[in-house]
Amino acid sequence: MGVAMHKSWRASDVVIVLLLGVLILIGYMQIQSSDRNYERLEKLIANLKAAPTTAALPRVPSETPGNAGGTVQAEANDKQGDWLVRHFTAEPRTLNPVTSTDYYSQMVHGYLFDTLIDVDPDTLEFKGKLAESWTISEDRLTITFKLRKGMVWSDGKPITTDDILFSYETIKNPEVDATRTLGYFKDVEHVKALDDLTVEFKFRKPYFKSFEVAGGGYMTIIPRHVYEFTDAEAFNAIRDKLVGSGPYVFESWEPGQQVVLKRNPLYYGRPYHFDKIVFKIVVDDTAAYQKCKAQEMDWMAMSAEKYVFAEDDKDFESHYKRLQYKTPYNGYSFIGYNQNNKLFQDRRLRLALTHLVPRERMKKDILYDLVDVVSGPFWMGSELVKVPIQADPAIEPWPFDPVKAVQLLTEAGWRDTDGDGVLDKDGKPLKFTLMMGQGAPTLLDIGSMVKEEMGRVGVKMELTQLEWSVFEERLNERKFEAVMLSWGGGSIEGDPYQIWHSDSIANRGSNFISFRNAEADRLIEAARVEFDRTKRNEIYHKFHRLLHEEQPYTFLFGRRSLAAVHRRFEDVRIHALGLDERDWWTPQGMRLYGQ
Amino acid sequence: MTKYVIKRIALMLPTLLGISFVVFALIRFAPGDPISLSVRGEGGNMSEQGGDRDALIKLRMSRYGLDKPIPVQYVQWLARMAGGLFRGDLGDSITEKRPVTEMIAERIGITIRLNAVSLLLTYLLAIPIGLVAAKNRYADPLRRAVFDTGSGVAVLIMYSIPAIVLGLMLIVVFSKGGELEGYLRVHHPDWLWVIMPVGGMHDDQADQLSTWAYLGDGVRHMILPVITLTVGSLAYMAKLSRTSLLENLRMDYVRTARAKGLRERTVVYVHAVRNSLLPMITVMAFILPALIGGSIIVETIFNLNGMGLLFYTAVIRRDYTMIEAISLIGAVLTLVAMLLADLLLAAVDPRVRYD
Repeated sequence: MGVAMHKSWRASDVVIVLLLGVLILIGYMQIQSSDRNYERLEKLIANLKAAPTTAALPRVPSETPGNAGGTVQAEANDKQGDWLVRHFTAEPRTLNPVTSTDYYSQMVHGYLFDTLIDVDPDTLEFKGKLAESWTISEDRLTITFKLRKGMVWSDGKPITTDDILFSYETIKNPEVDATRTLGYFKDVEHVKALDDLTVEFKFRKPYFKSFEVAGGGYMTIIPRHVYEFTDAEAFNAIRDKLVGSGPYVFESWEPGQQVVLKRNPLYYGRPYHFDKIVFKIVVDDTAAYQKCKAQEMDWMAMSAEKYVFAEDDKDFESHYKRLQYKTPYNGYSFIGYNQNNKLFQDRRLRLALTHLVPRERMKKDILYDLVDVVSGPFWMGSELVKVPIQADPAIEPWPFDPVKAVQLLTEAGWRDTDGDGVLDKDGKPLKFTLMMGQGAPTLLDIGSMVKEEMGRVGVKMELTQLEWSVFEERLNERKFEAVMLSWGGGSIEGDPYQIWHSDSIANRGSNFISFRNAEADRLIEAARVEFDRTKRNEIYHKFHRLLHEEQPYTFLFGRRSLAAVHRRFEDVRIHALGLDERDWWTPQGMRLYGQ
Repeated sequence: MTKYVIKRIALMLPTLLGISFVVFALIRFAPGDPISLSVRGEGGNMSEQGGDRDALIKLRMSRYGLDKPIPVQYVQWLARMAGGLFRGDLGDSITEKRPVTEMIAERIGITIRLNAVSLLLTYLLAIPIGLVAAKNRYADPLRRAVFDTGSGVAVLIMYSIPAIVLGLMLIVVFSKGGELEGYLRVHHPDWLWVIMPVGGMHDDQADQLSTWAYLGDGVRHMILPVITLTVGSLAYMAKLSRTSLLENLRMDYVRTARAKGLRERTVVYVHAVRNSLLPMITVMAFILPALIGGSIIVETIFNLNGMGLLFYTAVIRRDYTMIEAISLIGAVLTLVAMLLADLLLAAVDPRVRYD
């Protein structure tokens, strides 16, 4: 009858058959995923046999605390248990202990691989970790570490200096992708194992950070018997083979979901209280916040926006403590002026521009009052820091002062001669472009505020926001006029050489604004070989002052760490170095994660 | 017919070559490369590093052959693909240093499952919605306002909501720890089942559940993402199905059927609806590639580890092998699906002939 009736196949039949096909596909996928369940079922049966309960979630305490009495030991055991669930905002590329470069893998490695020395979170002094003691030679070139006796890797084999030698050989191997680490070791002449427990680092030049380079976390110490290789590519391809010396051992990595670590029973040092450390990968900020509200995450770094939002969220507040603190690792943001550009070679102009940036207003109006205005590249310290710091606390950031700015500009010869509202000199208008990468939305707000203030006195500034790779390329090629950026991850005592010395201009170095100042170079070099901390800080104070006067950057804001921590944990304290989860524990009955 | 199929398949090869070359060239002309991005760090922050990074970057670039001219790299890549394709080897990811097929296999399951359910729902709901709307197009004003205009407005709203807004709204309202949960807990505790998990594929301690409970847990985790995925395409398909049916209802054969005195039900359901489904088959050409194409938005907000994020991170990290592999798979699936749809159409619609 109808047109389609001539054929044995009809449109509706095809649609139905295809839909059926899709249904079968879904069914198949579900069955496939349930294959994994046999394993789970077996586990469940085993659990049920072990504990005569019918509950779906068998809770069998693995270590019943003895009632023998209130000894310190018993108390320590009492604190043990529960998990700590942390937050990853992205998936690590790899967990390879040597070739990984991202922040996430470093966080994981912090639990898995101990370093020779550590920094005390309160006093900021060095203390032994794998190393029991050390000596530094008179000429400051040789550093000898003595390891603790009886330490073992998580597979039970002893930790010896041969492993340190192997770790060093590994990063030095040109076939190994140890790009992150290698640069720090270019002045190491050799590493020698004097005996099983004594290791010597010999440097070519004296340098105040040598001790930190040799003993700190710059090089991950890995066991030779596990990682020894003949094919470097095979070593580079290792992703999750992790045998270490730290308080935890690797349990699993479910891509896109989580990384799980469990307690290392063979650990030599003071153990943490948690049985497991879990890193949950949640990319979206709001989803992560919601996961917190469902109490599925215990410790999360917060964006300023969420930090402020949570203040009025009773649900959130009832489960989480919000904390803010300052650490040397927070870094700072800045506007840098390319000194290759003739415009920015005049100090008066740079100083004038700084006076046109309303930093205090930005802090309040855009950044939720959760940052600190800074005057230089060094960490400003905090109330908790008792040691002298590199920054000179006497230096006040330049104020927002358009009148002073205009004075400086007039002094430098900038006037609006043609009456177009833009200052000019020798027929050239005062205009430039501020380049920034894609990132936080506040970046653009800050840029716009600067643009507005500059425009008011006749400085024409344009904004351009670029994708990160393009941005980087421009930075490295020095193809920009002014740039807004952040330096992240500083250290307790930073070395300004990398960013400010004139040697770092060539070879696409980090001195991308091409800052060249003989006095600055001299101060940087002098500080590198000054081993007395007080005297060194005096040099750095001078350097800080010099930058303050020169203003090659308009220094913007030092970040604060913002975090949410679950309220069930006890002893959550803020140290000079920030939070230290080694303190934390959960009282019985408050625990969320079972045995 | 056989000749036609052979011709189409023969044409696929040059098309694929063209696609692969364009992708290859585009991604290499884009600024940045996988090596420097991995060495220097990514995403807004720079960090202080010692040493001559540039020399190290050059060394690693030459190790992966990335320092050669693009045409040379392309020919080498082609040679590798020609050898590897049949062994299921599409090369190793530059940033993660493991086979891309392995990485895709890890992710493709969740993506296919989500998309399959979403597509099924789309068709199951869109066809009836379109049907009801079209049937009431010429009904009395009230019915027309409610069913045709009403569904039209609803569909327009659904089509206009961006997935990111819908997804976040669903999370904020229906997820654990939200306002709704607090309200239900106090006033309607028996309605608490509408509260859904926040994201991921399973609960943390789901492995301690029984098999059925575990499956149920998986299904519950899929509900919100599937809704987010479905709403937009459902709106589109509903519109399509309505237009197509309306068009058929105006055709001569429908008038003939009516004139013959057939009942209206028979006219609509037996004659018009069947023919109105023809465009749906054409649209099915997109199903095959769409099955593996993940959604970055849905995967990000619901924390699912699917193809969308895989491709996105590959582009951000300039992981050439991964980008090329996924594009190649997508291109093959699209070409195959287009051929299949054309053949199906010929099988169903006698007016379509390939000779």
